[in-house]
This record gives sequence, C-alpha cells and structure tokens, in this order.
Amino acid sequence: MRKIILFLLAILLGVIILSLLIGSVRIPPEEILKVLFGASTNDNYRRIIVEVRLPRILMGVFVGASLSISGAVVQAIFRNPMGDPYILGISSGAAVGAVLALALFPGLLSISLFAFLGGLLAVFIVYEIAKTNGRVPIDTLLLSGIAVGSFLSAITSVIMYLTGNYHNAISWLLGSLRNPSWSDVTVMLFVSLFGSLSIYFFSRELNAMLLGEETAVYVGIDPEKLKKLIMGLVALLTAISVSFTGIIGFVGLVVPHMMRRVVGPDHTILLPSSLLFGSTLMVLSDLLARNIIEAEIPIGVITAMFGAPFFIYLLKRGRF
Amino acid sequence: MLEINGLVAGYGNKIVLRDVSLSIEKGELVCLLGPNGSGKTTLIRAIGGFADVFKGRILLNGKPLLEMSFKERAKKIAVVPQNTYVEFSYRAYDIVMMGRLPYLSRFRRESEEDREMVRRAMEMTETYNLRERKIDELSGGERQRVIIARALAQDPEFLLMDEPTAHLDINYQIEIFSLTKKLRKSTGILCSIHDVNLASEFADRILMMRDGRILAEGSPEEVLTEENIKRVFKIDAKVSKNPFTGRIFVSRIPKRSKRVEKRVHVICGGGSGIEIIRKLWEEGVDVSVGVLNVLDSDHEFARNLNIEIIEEAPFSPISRERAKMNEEMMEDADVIVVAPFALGKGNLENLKSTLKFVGKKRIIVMDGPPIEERDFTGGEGKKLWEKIREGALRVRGVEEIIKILEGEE
Repeated sequence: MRKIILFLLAILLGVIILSLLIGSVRIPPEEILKVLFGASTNDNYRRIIVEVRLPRILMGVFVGASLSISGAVVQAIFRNPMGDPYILGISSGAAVGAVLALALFPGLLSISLFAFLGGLLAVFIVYEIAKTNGRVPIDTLLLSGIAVGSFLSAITSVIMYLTGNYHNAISWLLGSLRNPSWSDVTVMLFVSLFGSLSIYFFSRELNAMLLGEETAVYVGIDPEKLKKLIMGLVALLTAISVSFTGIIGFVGLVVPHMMRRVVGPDHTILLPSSLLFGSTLMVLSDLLARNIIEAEIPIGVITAMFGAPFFIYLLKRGRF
Repeated sequence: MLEINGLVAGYGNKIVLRDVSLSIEKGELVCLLGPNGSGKTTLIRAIGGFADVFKGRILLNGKPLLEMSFKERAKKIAVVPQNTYVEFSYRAYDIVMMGRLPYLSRFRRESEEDREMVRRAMEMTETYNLRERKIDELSGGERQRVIIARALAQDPEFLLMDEPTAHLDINYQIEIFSLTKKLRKSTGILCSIHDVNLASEFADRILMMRDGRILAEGSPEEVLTEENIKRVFKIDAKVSKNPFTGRIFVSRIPKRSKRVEKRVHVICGGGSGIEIIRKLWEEGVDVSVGVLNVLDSDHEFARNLNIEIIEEAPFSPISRERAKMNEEMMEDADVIVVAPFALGKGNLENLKSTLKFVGKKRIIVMDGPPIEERDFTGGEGKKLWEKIREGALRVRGVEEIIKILEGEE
C-alpha cells in the first residue's frame, strides 16, 4: 500500500515537470533546470517559470488536493456516493459572493474574499437548517444543501441579470487557476496543509463512520462532534479553493471514487491517495486548459468534460 | 454490575421505553424477549449511547454511565447492532481493529497490545482465519462473528447484542449462542432475541418486554409461562420440556376459526392423523379421536389441542370396553374420517367399529400409502379396509375433507 503512494507521488512529479515544460512560450528543458537552481541568466525565462508557471502549478496541486480530500471525507460522512464538497452549498454561496463583489467592488482580492465568506456562510445556513434536536441527520443535511444551493444559484442569476456583467461572472464561475501570486500560493499551501493533515488524523474515525453512525457510537465516536469538525474543515478547504479558482467541478466527486476502487475504503490510505491523484488531475487539466487551443479554456470545463463521462463509466460498471 | 433505574428513552421527541428498570451481573446471560416494537432495540441502543435518554439512570459499577464520554463508555460496553451489513470492502481484520478505537491515540499507530487483543477476539470467535477476507464477501454467519469479535476487541465488561441470530440459518443460530455462552465467563451479556426457545435454552435470565415496559423477569422456568406468552406475544402457546435439552419448550397453538360447525370423529394412529386433526381443528370442527394408545404421536398431538380422545394403555391392544366407547363417539359424530394408518392386530378393532357404521354414517377414507404396505395383519386388515372403502367417500387430502364438510351444510 505504501507503494501506491510512492507511485502516485511519482506521477504527480512527472505531471508537474511536464507542466513546467509546456506552455505558449517554448523554453528548453536545460533552461528550466537552470532557472530552478537559480543559475539562469535569461530574465525572460526566469519570469515565465517563477512568476507564471510555477505558482500556477502549485495552486493546481493545492486546490486539487483540497477538493479531492474534501470529496473523500464528505462521501464518508454522508455515506453517499453522490457526496461532493459542493454539496454543502459552498460553491453556490461562493458564487453569490463573487458576483456580488464583481458588481460592487471589482478586484481580485475582494472577489476572493467575498467568495470565501459566501461559501462559509452557505455551509453555516445549510447546517443550521438541517439541525434538529441538537443532531444533524445526514439525509436532512443533504436535502438542505440542495435546497440552499438552488436558492443561492437563483440569487446569483438575479445579480448577474441585474448587473449585466455576464462575461466576467461566467468566466469566474467556470473556474480557472488564473495566474496566482506567490502570496496566494502561500495562503493556499498553509490552509490545505492544515486542513488535510487535520482530516488525516481522523482517518480511523472516518473508517468507523462508513459503517454507520450507530456503529460509530458503539466504538466511542461522538458522531455529531465529528460531523461538525469535519464539515468545518471541508468548508474551510473548499471555500478557500473556490475563492482562488472559482468553481472547478467533478474533481472532488470522481477522484475519491477512482481511488476507492484502487486502494479500498481505508481512509489512512484513501485520503493520501486521493490527495495526490486530485493534485495530479488538476495540474493535468490545467495543462490541457492552457494548451488545447490558442485561448485558455476554463479548467472547470475540462474537468467536467472528462469527469462526467468517466463518472458515467463508473456508474455503468456497477457499484462504487 | 449494570443497573438501570426508571429509564425513559426514545428518539428525538418520541418515547419508546417507559420506565424500564433492570440489572445485569457480570457472568450472566440475560435474554430480552418481546414482539417487534416492544422496545428491545431501543433499550440496547440507550445503554450503548445511540438512543436519547429522557429520564432515569444507568449505573455501571455504581458510576453514572450517561456522564461518561463516548470513548469511556465504549471501553466498558460493547454493542453488536442488529444490522451488521457492511457495504464497503474492509478487511475483516480492519473491522475488528475498529474495536480498539476507544483505546487508540489519534497520533499513534496500533500497539502490540492492540494487535494481540484483536487476535484473541478473532480466535475466540473463530474468525482469525478470515482476517484477510473482505467483510462484504463473507457469509452472514461469518460476518456476524467478525462483528462480535470487534465488540470483544473493545474488552468490554458488558456485551449487548441486538438479535444476533436474526437472518441466520438454524446452525449459525446455535453456533452464535454457544459462543455467547462461552463469552459469558468474562462479561455480562444482554441479548435481544426473537426465538423464545433459543432464549429458554441459553439464557440465565429472561426479561419479557411489551410496549416499552418489562412485563416479566426471572429464570426461563419462571418467565416462560402460558399466561406470560399470551400477555406479551398475544398468542396461545403450550409450554412443555424440550426432550433433548430439558429446558422449557414453547409451542405455538394454531389459531382456530369457528367456520365449520360439525362433529367429526377421526380414526388414526402413528402420526397419520396429525395433519387431519390440525386442519379440522383450525377450521373449527368439533374433533374427537379414538382409539389411540397413550404415547402414540397422534395421541400426543390431540392431547396438546385438548381434543377428546378415547385412549388405551400404551402398546396394548384395544379392549372391547374402549372399542364400545369409540363406537359411541362415532354415533355422535356427523362424519367419520379414516386416516391412512398402519394396521396391526392391536388396532383392528378400530376398523371393525367403523365397519358397523357403513351405510349409516357418512364415512370419509383418506388415501395414503397402498394398503398392502401398511397392513401387518396378514390380509384381515386389508379386507376390512376395502369393505369400508366401498361404502365411503375417498379423498386424497385434508382440503377435500373440509370441502365435503362445507358442502353438507
């Protein structure tokens, strides 16, 4: 099982190197090495690698990791194969925040901030609606997530319609790794590291939760506490991802399914594998998004275009 | 000791248990009996921490259980829930290791002691050889034993099991209960169960529940009475002793309707009449039988239904006196039914008596094995039987008898 982690790590490194090599400007491989080891004399190359390609790749790594690990734990907590980090209403909340910011105070920072807050607020509302008698029944949570999500989508549409700012709004909604600054990458690094590690330390509890809340209680888990904590971490990871990159779909849904087929349901292995494979998929998707045609295609389009047929394939192959 | 006092529990705002008090000692196997919805599952869940407790106290060795953390509680009390189906393909070993969760530190790996506990639990339930197998690929009985191993890995003082034998074949049921008896040495066990006779065979004590209350409590002999069973399950039952185990054995008495109001006398023996008697009795027919030897299986059966029997001493030929009584019964009956019983010197009187009523009473002869195969009188019986048959209606099954009786009205 350790082997599979090393294997996935190797693939990720391979894709990262590929992404450094390929771009609209051709840079010879030896020049890239020089830049990475600080021995380059070509300022242009240096800027493209250090200021453009590398931060973008790292953003892809961290966002892919965050969305995939979130998807894996949401599926465990919900015990539902439809689980997806966006099911808690985060994406719709973030969308409202983003279009609101676009309308009121356009600017990358304010859009990110509003998207982040919108996402968290949506989760909070979904959670509060689902709460009955101090408990949060999973089915109610799922349904309240869907209901709040639809409502917030309607609000997003209304704001877009009233402001007429379709182009920017839609391009944000479809998701893109854009060109993040190093400070964006640093924030994302720390949040995803903190979130993923925290979640990882609950692997055993998540394993037990997969057997149902009743069993979880009997082996000493407080399911309400665990759900609250995990949902908090998922909300943080997902909201921060969405705030930097917009709504990139299907990664959080499909990656954990693929990995569960390969490594089984044990979260001590499933979580790191999903994290690594999610990163790989995200960087690879961005590579395609940047290079398939002249202009950049939104990465959310790529992930959905490849993710949806794959999901259908999984469905047809039988159980998850 | 696990002590429960005035427990009121349920889910959300729904009350299921109303004022339940009980206590279980270590080393004791207590069975919970009761119909569906009587609160057995809720009682187990309330002790395990999965149902809401509204009122009352649960004390574990004098300490209030409800004030303990989930983790602390899981070290003392382990539960095997009713539904043990696992839809994810964990290894059996990993499932059992989950029983160590209350002891594991978040940031540390499983210790040698944890692995040792898991191995012992799996050996006790004879599942160690299944440890690498996927839980969703095991049979129902194997899976149940793995789940019990998980509960044992918790090293509990009390083990609660909710219908551990539901959906299992009879051989697995016995297997699980034999295991339970073994486990009783180190833990106190509370086990809900559907099957009254399994409870009687294995329990030290039985609690009978209905409508969220405990209606009876005590040893199987004290609790499993016909009145209690009627009160709790709303069925008529006959309590006897299981000849193999010497424990109380409860049989359900079939329900009786009052459809066919006829008097029927059945001539039978050696078990040939059981189906006929039961069916006629269920349909409300006023049945009598005779002459039967005491200890004959038809005799036993008829006696349990409180049917009028003309009886003869065990293994003795029918005396003239009894034959006369039998003929009186035939006289009173609307119909005489002759079952396909085996003919011997001892019971020929029955046929002779019947022959007297040919032409006077309606006689129904039921087909069975060829007469040659069940005549042990050297032809005399066959002759008698054939004469009766000529003056009788022949049927192939009990249903036809019922139809004839209905048609006569």
